[in-house]
Amino acid sequence: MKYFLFECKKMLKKKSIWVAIILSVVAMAVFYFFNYSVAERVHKTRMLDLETSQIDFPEKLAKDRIALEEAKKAGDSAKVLDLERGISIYEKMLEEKKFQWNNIIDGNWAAISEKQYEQLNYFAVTSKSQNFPVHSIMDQHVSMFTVRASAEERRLVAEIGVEPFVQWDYYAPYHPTAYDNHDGKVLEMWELGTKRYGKQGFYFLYQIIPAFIIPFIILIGCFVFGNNVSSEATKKKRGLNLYAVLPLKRGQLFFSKYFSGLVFTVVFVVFILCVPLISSLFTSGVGSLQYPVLVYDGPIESPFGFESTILNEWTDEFHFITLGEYFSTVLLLTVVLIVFMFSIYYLLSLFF
Amino acid sequence: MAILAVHDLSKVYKSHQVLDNISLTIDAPGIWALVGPNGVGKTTFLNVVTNILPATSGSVDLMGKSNKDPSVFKEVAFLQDNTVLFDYLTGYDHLKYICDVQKIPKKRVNEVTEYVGMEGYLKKTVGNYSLGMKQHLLLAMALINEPKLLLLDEPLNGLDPTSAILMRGILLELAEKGTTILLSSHNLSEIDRVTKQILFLKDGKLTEVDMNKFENTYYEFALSNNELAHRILKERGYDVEIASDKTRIQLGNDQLDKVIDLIKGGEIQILDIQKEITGSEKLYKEIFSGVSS
Repeated sequence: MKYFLFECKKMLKKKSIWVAIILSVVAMAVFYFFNYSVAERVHKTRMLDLETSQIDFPEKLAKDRIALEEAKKAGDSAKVLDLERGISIYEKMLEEKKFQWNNIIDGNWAAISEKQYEQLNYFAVTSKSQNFPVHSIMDQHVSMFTVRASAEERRLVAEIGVEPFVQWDYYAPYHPTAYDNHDGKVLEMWELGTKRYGKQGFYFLYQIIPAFIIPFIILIGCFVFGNNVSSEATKKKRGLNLYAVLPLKRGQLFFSKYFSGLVFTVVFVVFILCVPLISSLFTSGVGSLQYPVLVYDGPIESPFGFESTILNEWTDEFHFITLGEYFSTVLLLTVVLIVFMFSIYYLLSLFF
Repeated sequence: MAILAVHDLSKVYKSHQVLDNISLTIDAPGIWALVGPNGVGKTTFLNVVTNILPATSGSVDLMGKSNKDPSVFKEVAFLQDNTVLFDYLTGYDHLKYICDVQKIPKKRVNEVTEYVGMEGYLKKTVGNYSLGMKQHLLLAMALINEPKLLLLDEPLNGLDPTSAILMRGILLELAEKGTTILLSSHNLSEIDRVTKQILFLKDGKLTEVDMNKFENTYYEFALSNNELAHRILKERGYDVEIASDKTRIQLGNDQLDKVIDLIKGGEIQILDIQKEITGSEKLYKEIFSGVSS
C-alpha cells in the first residue's frame, strides 16, 4: 500500500499531469457551455416564434374576419367557406401556441409533454387503424417504430413532468431510432428536426455518450497516467533504476505503478464526466434521473421458435429505463472499458 | 562470506564486449576505487553488479546473496547518477520512501540529512537543486539504511571543494566503521586521498592494484646551494635531479631525516620543502596510454 501511495503522490506532484487535467476540464466545460448556448438559441427561436405568433395571428384573424364579412355581404359562398376554414385553422394554431407559451412561462412541462403525447399517439393510433404510417416528410414516411417509441417517451416525460430535451421540432418531437430510413433532403430535415440538445447536466451527458466521448476521455487518461513506467526509463530520466537498488520485488513495483495509474484514470474519467454536471449548476441544473431512455427489445419471438433479424417497425418491441439506470450501466461499462484500454495501453507502453 | 564476489562476469552490449570474464572478490571492509576512462564500462560494471543491467554471463554475490535477490539491498546501497531522482518530489519525499521500503524509522531521515548537511533544502523540490545538492541527496539516500556495502558511481561529480572534503571525510569514516566501499571516479587525486586499493578497468578486464607498491614519495628542496647538495647526495647514492632551481629527490618513509642531516652537514640552508606523492596518476597514464580520458 505504501508503494501504491508513493506512486499516487508522484502523480499528484507532476505539473504536466495537472496541466493535462486542467486542459481536459476546460475543454469539457467549454463543450458543455457551447452545447448549452446552441440549446438556448433553439429554445429562444421557439419562444420568439410563439411570441410573434400571438401578435401576428390575431392580426391575420382580424383581417380574415373583415374579409369574411365582406364575402358574406357580396354573397361569395366559395370565398366564405375558404375563409371560415382558414379562420378555424388559425384559431386552433393560436390556441396551441398560447397553450405552449403559457405553460413554458409557467414551467408546466407536464402539460406540454401531455399535448405532444396526444399528437404522437394520434399518429400511432391512426396509422395502426389504417395500417399505413400517416406522418411523412416529403413522401418519406416516419417509421411506425419511431412514432410508437416517441409517443411512449412523451407519455413518460409527461408523467415525471420535467423539462425535456430542447429540439427544433416541438410540435411532434420524435425520438430518432434505428428504424428511420430517410435519404436526401429529408434526411437533412429529419436530422435537424430530431437533433436533441441537453441543457441540464445529466441530459448533456446522455446526449454525448453515444458520440463515443467516453472512450476518447479514457484515451486521454491513458496518455496522462499510463506512462509511469516508460517515462522513468528514458535516457534522461531513469527513476526505475532507483527502485532497482531497493529491497523491492519487481512484481510489487509493477502492480503499485499499474494500479495507481488505473485508479487515477478511473478518477480522471469520472471527474471529467462530472464537469458538465458541475457546470450545469450555473445554468439549468443537473436534470432528472427519471428521464426515460429508449431500449430496443428487437423482434418478438415468432411462432416457429426463432427470432427474425429483420427490423419490423410495426411489431418490434421496446421499453424504457430511467436515466439513472442507464447511467449505472454506462458507469459499470466505463470502468470495464477503462480497465481494458488502460491495460492494453500500459503493456504496449512497456515495449514502445 | 565474501562481501562482494564476482565470478566470470561478462556483459556484451550491442555486440561490444564491455565486461570480459571479470572475477573479483572483496572479503574485508575497506575502500576500493574503480578507475578507467570515459566509456570503458565503469557504470556498466556497477549496474551489472547491482543487477540493474543483466549480466550476459557470470554471477555476482553481494553479502553472500545473489544480486538477483532484491533483499540484498537491505545491506547494500548504490549511489547512482542524478537521473534517478524525481524532479517534482522533494528530497524528503525520496528519503521517506526509502525509509518505507527499508522499513526503518522516519527519524533516520533527519539523522542522515544532518550528517550530509542538507537540512536547509530537504523540503525543496529536487528540480530546484543544484548539481551538488542532488549529489548530497543521493549520498543521503545511499547512507540511510547504513549499508555494509556501498557502491558509488562518480560520487564527487559536481561537488564544490567543501562538499568534496565532506564526502571524503564521510567515506573514510564509514570505512573505519566497517563499511565496504567501491567507488568509481575520474578524480585521481581524490582517490589517492581515500584509498590505495584501485581497480583499473580496461578492455573489459579488471586489474586490481595495491597502490602502496607503486606509490612514490618525492621531496622538493629549495636550497641555498643546489649544486653542492646534488653532489653530496649523489655521493651517498641518492637519486637526485635539479629542476627549476629545486632539488628533487625520491625517498622512502625513514630517509628524510638522514637527507636533512646530510644537507645540513654541508652547511647548506634549507629554504623550503615540499612533499609529493605520485602513484595512481602515473600508473593510470601507463595503463591507459593512448586512451583519452
